Amino acid sequence: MIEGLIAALSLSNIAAAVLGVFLGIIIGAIPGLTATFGIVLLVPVTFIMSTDHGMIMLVGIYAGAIYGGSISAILLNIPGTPASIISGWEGYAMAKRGEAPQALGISAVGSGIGGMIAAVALVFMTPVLAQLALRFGAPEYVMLVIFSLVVVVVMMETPLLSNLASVFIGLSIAAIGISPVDGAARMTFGFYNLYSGLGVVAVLIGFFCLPQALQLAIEAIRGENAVGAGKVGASSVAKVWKRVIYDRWLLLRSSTLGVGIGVLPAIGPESTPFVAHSLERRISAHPEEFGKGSQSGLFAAEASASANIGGSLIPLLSLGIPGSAAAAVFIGALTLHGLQPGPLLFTEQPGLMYSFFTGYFVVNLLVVVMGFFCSRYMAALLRLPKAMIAAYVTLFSFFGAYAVNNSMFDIWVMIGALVLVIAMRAATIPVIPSVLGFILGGLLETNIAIAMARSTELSYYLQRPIALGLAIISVTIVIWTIWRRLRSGPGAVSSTGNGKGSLLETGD
Amino acid sequence: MSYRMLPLLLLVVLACVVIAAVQDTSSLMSYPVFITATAFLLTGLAVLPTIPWRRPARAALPGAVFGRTAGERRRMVRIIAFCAVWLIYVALLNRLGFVLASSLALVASLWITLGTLRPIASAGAVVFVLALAILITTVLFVPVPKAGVDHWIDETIFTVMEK
Repeated sequence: MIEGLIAALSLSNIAAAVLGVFLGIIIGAIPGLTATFGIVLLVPVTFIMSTDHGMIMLVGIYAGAIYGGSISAILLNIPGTPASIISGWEGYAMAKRGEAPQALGISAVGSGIGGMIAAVALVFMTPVLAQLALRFGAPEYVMLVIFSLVVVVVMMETPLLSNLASVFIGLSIAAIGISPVDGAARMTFGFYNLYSGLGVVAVLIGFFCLPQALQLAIEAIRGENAVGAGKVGASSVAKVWKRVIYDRWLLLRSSTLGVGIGVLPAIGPESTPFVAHSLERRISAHPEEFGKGSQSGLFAAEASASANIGGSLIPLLSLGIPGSAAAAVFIGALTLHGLQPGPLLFTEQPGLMYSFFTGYFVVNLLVVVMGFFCSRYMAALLRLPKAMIAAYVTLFSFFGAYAVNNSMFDIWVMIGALVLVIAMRAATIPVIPSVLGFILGGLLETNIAIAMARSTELSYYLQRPIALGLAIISVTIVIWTIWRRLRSGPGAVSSTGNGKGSLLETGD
Repeated sequence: MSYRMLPLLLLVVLACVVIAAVQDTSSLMSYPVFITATAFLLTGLAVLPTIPWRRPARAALPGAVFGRTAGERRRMVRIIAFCAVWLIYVALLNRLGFVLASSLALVASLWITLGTLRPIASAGAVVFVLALAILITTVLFVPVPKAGVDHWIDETIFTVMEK
């Protein structure tokens, strides 16, 4: 362990971490380029490095990209990655109030602390958490997905019916393509490109980046060209750390939740911030601030998303099971370097493993430092005229949609998603529940099929305490929310995402 | 299309998806049929009461850009032109290649949104696209649609690197 620690703190390993985080932040900040995309792009570069340098650089890209996605989300309301949707919600509201540097600082520190807590969990709790992941069967996954969807339905202050409709629209989009059960093509309308389903990146760019670019273009054409969404400057270290102390338990809770969800295979960092944000809103002393530029909400989203990455590394390294799409690519990179992820990795390469764990801690420390250092320059984006931002973001949106699969069809999918968002906004249906439904839809369908194939008897499900517990919590949340809304009356809908305002704003 | 027709368009699209799900699956009790039918039903319930069946006052439209004055009409034309530029970009990307199509689209959309053709902004856009193309094709090896200019850039870089 000590050898690994010393190796990780060598100058060359720190240089690899700096390079990884820097590249990750840039990739994440560009709309359409995700953490997975960044790792895929830079795997070949790691062949000129030693294994530990390469692993640390790749995990630096992963962590840096998740943080980088929040930069464009906070400054422009354009999430760079799917994991930064909630960060855009809270952070952009802060930026509009003139608190962009503070939001960027909170984002960096929240992300870094979440990652560091995950690194500690990696070192000390890998065997225990790996066993927990193995206890999750199909019924548990079904209930976990339903729980996540329930959380997002009750989280939005828009009418429950609209939120529920939005979730089912997302699930419907996710069902397009080859059936995971019998292999039949469904709802493809004769397009063979739809057999593999709709591309996640293309749809999310159409949902978030392109509408915002178009909105900026409309505002520029109307003559509202100066962004002016706040002052430009460095984050106040003292103010951010004061907030860290105030929200210390929130950070611990959100990070723990992030690690816990990250451990579960196939659930990436995209959905975790929704759950963490909603949980914190429920227990906060100031729930009315959430969704309107809440610093606590931003902390919860950032810490949970970052901790999810660390969590996803636990089943990856200990069992060889990827916890997210990026982790799956990461497994490929390890294999290319001659490493076989699984229990034997710890016995055959203990020095390398501990070097990697320490390197992951260093990577997250660097996210904090570089986030603070760079926020002054990043916030300068706000000085650019809206016309320029609109044109360049549109170019990056088209490039991002194309580049993932090198497919022109994905560009049309992105445009289709834009039209869908406009229609949903016109119908006052929020977009965010659709996003979660779309992301989790495949997982839900597959696991429903597996669970139903095993047993249709109720007793089978009653004997599974985790699934039963999640079901009881979900039902309780629904009943409590309906009761609360009935008591508040129909006029008690907050201004957050009530469908009024701009035609194209998707910051539900 | 009128803004108030968009919720109806959403319902029509969802109805088409339900029909496709019914046609493509063997059982009416299948997962896609249940999901899509529920989406249609819930959206209908959520949307129908909110549709203003009578024509609303223009000022009441969210994000209203559909004005009647000459200035508003000009702005509307510019917004449509901005959208058209990027649709034409998609149509021409394979024929013109990444560098030429992206440069033209970026310059045109800057022209439309800024209101005037600014030489420095336009030159900056072309340089930016060139730099991006070189970075993504030679450093990151991301394939992009290529035509004349792109092939010429590739050959030039190859020749320089050979020397």
